[in-house]
Amino acid sequence: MDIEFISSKALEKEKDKVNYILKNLAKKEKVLVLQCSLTAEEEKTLIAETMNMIDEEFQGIEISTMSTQEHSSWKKKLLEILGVKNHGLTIVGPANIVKKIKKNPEIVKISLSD
Amino acid sequence: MSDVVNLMLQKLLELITNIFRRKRHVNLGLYGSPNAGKTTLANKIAKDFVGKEIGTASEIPHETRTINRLENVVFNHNGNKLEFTLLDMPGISTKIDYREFMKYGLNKKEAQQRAREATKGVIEAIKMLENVDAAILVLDATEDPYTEVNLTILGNLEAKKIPIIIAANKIDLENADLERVKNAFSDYGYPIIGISALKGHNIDKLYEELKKKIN
Repeated sequence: MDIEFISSKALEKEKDKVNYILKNLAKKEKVLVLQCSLTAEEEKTLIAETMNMIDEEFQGIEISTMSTQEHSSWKKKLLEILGVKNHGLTIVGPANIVKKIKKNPEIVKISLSD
Repeated sequence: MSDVVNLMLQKLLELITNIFRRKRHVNLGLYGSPNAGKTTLANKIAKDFVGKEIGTASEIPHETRTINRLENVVFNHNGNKLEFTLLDMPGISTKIDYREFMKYGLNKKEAQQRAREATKGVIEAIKMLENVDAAILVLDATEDPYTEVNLTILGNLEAKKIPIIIAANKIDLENADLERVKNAFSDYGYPIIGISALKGHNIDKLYEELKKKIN
């Protein structure tokens, strides 16, 4: 199994992060670590697209996003005004390889299948 | 002339009534992971206000694979009346493996069919995230609450400014941990209520919160 780290610079070239993840993940034996977090909208699309691809071989994904984003709306707005970018981290792998990703939320623990 | 005035007044009255009705009628969605207890809660709400159940709960994951819809539910709690459509959503997950269903005694063909239907159900539930007016995120209080599925549901509802209540279900079970749920979502500012949909614990508190949120 490979672990692929993708920098935010490389991802800037990608218009569609969801498509990029699925293209690089489905039916492949690797875990992707992206130097960016996904928006809720992107995660929703990723789940829906994953469902469309599920078959006997591909059982779906395990995903975890670590975001630097604040949940409080005033803090969020303040950070936006200050121009603070939300890079974060996304770890995603096929479900047949990644058994579980546990987040607490500052630490992410990945359990691989036997 | 008076007929024209009467007709205009009648039309105006109809318009005001319709606006009022629209504001008082909402789509209430129950969201969460498979086996969180959404259908058990939907059945409890449906029994309390309509006198009948809405769906079948099961220990096999993805029992609800299409949206269970119950229209014209008249919420009448402590003198507050509200009409809503109850939407019991299929559980949202990032993976579905038909082999998991075979562990519950389904044969391969049945399990594969269930998996196909379950994937469609997840998509249907995701699409409806934009069309609910209020939502209850149902969590299993015995499980880790800080999952990507729960965060995705919350993030999308929050983006649309849809009122949310978190119902930490199964608090009647010994290994339930309400504090863990509260700690996980303390930053979000949503009301978090520990309930047992099966036993009816704290359902009144949930209704009170629902009343506040929808109003």
